[in-house]
Amino acid sequence: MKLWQDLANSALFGTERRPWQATSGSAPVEMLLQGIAIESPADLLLRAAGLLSVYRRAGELPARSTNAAPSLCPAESLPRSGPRVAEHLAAMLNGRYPELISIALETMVESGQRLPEELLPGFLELTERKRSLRAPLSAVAGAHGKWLAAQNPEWDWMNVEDALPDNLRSLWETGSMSQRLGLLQQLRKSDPAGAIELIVSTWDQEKAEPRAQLLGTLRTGLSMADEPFLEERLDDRSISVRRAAADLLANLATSRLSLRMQARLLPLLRLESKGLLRPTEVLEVMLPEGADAAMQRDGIRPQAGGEAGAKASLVAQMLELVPPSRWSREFSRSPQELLAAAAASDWKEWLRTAWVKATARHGDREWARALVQALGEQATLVLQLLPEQERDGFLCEAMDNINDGLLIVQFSRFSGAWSPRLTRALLKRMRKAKDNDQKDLCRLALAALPSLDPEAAADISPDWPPEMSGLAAGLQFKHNLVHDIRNRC
Amino acid sequence: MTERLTSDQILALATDSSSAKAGAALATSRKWSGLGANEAAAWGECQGSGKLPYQAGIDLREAAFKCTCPSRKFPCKHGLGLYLLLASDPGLFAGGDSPSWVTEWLTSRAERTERKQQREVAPDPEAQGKRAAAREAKVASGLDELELWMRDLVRMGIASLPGKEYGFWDAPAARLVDAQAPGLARILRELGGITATGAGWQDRFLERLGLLTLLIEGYRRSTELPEAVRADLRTVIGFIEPQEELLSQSGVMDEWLVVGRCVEVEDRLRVQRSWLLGKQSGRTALVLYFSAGTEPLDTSLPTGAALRGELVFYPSAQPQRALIKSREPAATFHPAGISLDQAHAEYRQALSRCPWIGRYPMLIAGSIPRPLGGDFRLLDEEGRELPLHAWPQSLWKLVVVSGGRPLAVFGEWDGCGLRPMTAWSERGAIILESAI
Repeated sequence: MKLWQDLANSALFGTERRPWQATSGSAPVEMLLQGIAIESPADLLLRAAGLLSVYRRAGELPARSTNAAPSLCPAESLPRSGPRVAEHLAAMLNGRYPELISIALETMVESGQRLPEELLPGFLELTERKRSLRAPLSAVAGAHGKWLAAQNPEWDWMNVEDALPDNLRSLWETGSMSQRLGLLQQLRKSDPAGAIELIVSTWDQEKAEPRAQLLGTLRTGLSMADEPFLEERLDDRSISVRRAAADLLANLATSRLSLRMQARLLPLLRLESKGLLRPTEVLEVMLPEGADAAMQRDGIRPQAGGEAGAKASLVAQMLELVPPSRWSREFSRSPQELLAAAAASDWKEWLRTAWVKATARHGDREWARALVQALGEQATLVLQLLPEQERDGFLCEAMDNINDGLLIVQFSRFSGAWSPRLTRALLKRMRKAKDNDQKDLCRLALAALPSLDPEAAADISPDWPPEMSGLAAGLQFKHNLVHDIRNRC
Repeated sequence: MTERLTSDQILALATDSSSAKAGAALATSRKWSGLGANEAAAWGECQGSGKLPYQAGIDLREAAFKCTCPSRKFPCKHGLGLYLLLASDPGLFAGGDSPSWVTEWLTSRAERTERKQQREVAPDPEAQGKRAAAREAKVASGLDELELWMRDLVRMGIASLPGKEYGFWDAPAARLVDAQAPGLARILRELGGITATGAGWQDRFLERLGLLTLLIEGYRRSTELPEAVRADLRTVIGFIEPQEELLSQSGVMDEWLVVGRCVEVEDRLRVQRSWLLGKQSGRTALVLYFSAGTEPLDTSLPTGAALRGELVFYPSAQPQRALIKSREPAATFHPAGISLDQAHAEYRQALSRCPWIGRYPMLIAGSIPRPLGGDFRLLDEEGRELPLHAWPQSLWKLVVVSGGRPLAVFGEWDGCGLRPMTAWSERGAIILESAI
């Protein structure tokens, strides 16, 4: 509006330098402006501004839209969650037991329902920080979710997650680090060799830190096809890259690195019979001189000092990397027999700890069973390799036999889902714990709430000690949540 | 009948996010004993850190809270927790008559309301007249000074104003406070902020100067103007109409739906604006509530709730602000709304009656919200559209609730954009922004 523009310019530069004057036109507003009583140029401008600002405000009309019609959200195929579930979900978004969100979403996936659409923006925003929730959110977002995400570039991952982008190469070269890592992770699932190709294509231009991160993605879909590339990385300038490569190679039982480790260890381990009347087998350990350059290249960390402990640590480091089944084959002994022979050795602690780690690394169930039988709760690291029944049987028994302190230590190490039996046993055991230990246990149990079985909420009773009320509340919430989702409440 | 609130509505009543969180944490059966609820109230006892449990009660008819805990927040976490629990697990609450402490509280509330309505003012007319005259004189000299100051600004040019120090704006604002014109003082402080709003600031700035000039001019000619316009001038300047006097007048009887609510902070004061829409009268009413510091906000008007009662409007050429004189619960309803063109026609008429209107309520029927290149627009059935201004989270919520289909949307028009507060889909009222 020219009238206003002139007025604003005069105000901007000042009426002293640029006084404003009413135009001489005959439009009603101009006539009004012409009729303003003048005291001074400044006064005239202010009065005109008063008149014109109301004129402007009143004249503002909603524009006729020239944009294409808004897109219509397609019909939903999944039913919406019930009102109770909507309440729970909104509460979690507001900070109540947020750690249960992924379980809520997964349970909704199982029972085939979708997120109430009004909660979508909140959940989409949440996944900007919690990427792990993207997959389950995608599954419960329904047609509304896909439709909404398509309109916000920040959320559009929901519509592209499954398909690899067409501009793979350019995204790889220009994308942010997290985009590139996401791309690799996705590619590794369908085309692991293609992912290596991408990494190789820009490898020489990458800095040390991203190089190590990029290697980390190879854990998915790792195979001997990756071995040549990884072997070369053992000569990288950066220690973090060398470490990452050595770690991955150790997971491949037939990699050159693993074979070299086995070859180094073979002359150091010997099974000997001792005792004349009742001969028992002893696993003898020969200590190496030190870590030579080749060993260090393979990721073995040299130990300061030349004493026995430092040398034993070198053996342990190597042993941790080699599949334990290698020794069953080498000595034609069962894991139980080898553990018995190790128990008679001077280095039994080193041997056991290293085997526990090697078993966990290579996921050897037979060795896991032998270790749990021989070492009990010291072998919790490999417990998860056992079938659930067997694992729970052991844990329930152990729980009743060990003291509070040890239970706390074991508890904090345990990860994975708790079966109904195990959850109940734990809650029962917790009620018997001493005051302070009980508090610690409750804290740990509450942190493990996503893993606890919600059916155990049936055991909650008024005679639980007050220390456990927080846990009881959490368990009850989880129970209601899962129950309400399954029953479509 | 009493409509119970959803947890969104309940959490929106919290004074801040920490009490919302604490309330949510208490919404569990483990914390409570003696839970009960009926049509009028809900109650329960919550074991706190003390020996005796806290007794918390809710008057469900007006979402009023009572608790024996020492918290100065209102509603406290116990009240919020109790209401959230009622929303998520009504089965835990036994029915029947309320215990005596709840009944007593409800009765005393009813009595208080009655007393408030009956309270008679017995002012000393002579002293009052003197005080009023003294204030008029002060305001008049404050306005003279303001006019001189504004003239200086436009004489020298406003181009150099962005970047002026706080004191540049605060000094004349402080003089207006002394002149007992707090409303103008607030406008002056806002002026300083406008210089920092980027492109087009000079238009927004000059508009304010113009409106202030109209106000000064109008106030000087008060005696020539109708009573209602005088009232508007006095309101903008910051005269406060005594509530007792207003409540003694008769108002508008109707069923009123709370169509929107928001809380903003102005000068260390929290200001809560609740918009009500009359079912028969079609009138909109603005109920304001002010609280300083940690003082509680009024929680009795959650969005989507309805009441049957009498509202007394403040005198104005464009009556908007109102007081609730009497109320009883009523069933919520689905409001209709009008087109964007009609709403703007109403706005123009309102402006012609009172040019100082800041925010104007609009309830738009059959409108579709949509994102458009980083902005958001509201498109109505006649193909008109206008910009939407709010937090992205609220706007996306509006978009997804619509799904590209028409909704009734309520919001405040500020001359540049519509700030949406509530939408109605077939599921009922959806709150777009929480008060926290």
